[in-house]
Amino acid sequence: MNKTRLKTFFLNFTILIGVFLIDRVSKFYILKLAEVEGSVDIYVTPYLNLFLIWNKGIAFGLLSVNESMMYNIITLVICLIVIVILFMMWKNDNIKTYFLALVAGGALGNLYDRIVHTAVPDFIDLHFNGFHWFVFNVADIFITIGIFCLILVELFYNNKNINE
Amino acid sequence: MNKIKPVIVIFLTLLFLNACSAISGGIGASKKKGSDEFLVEKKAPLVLPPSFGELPEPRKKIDENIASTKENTLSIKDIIDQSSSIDSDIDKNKSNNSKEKLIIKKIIEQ
Repeated sequence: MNKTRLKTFFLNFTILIGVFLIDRVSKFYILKLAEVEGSVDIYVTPYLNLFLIWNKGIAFGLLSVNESMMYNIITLVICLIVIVILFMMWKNDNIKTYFLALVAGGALGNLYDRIVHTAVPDFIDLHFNGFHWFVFNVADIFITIGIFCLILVELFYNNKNINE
Repeated sequence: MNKIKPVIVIFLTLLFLNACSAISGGIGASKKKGSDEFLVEKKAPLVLPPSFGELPEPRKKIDENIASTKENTLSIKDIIDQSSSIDSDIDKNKSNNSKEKLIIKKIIEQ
């Protein structure tokens, strides 16, 4: 392992741990509030509320079922995806690895909740004119940014390399 | 086409890793699996308890209660006797309680 690769690995690892910790701190704060007050429904700005709900499924509340078998299968699939992402992080040595680290950090944050709390706490409620976007958490923000950047890289960065 | 395939895979990854959920689930728009308040339940027919005949008669019970309360409470005479004996001990050498003794004596006579 050369010096540049080692440096990239540590940078990625720092990003991953950083994202995971930010997510954990935010969730810890919200769960503490919920423990003290019973529920969390806080007005922050005219467009943002903190409202705690639990998601047992995947994105957009899909596959939210009470059956433990289905829940375990989804958790297993997520575990496999996280392992694949970590493997890709290890194998790749380009700009993709940073975005993969963002995704992996967020995914590990949500996976932790799935294993410990058997559901993921969502609490950021963006709304405008009575229209509410899906409630999400800090990990979701990092995952979405990472995935969006990966799509952009896939579409433009690789294309540029081929042209060169 | 070459570009679309990895983009779809990445997007599917987003679906699985992301955990955002609809607010309706939290507010309570979803159907609750609680008890149905409109459910009409059949009521069981009224039947006499098996030991219904063994119950004591109401009048007899009241008399028993009165008798027991009488036993528990001290009679007025006993109380006066007790108080007079205490008074006599304390005020053995005093003669200013003659009025009280006179009243007590009258009560006893009655």
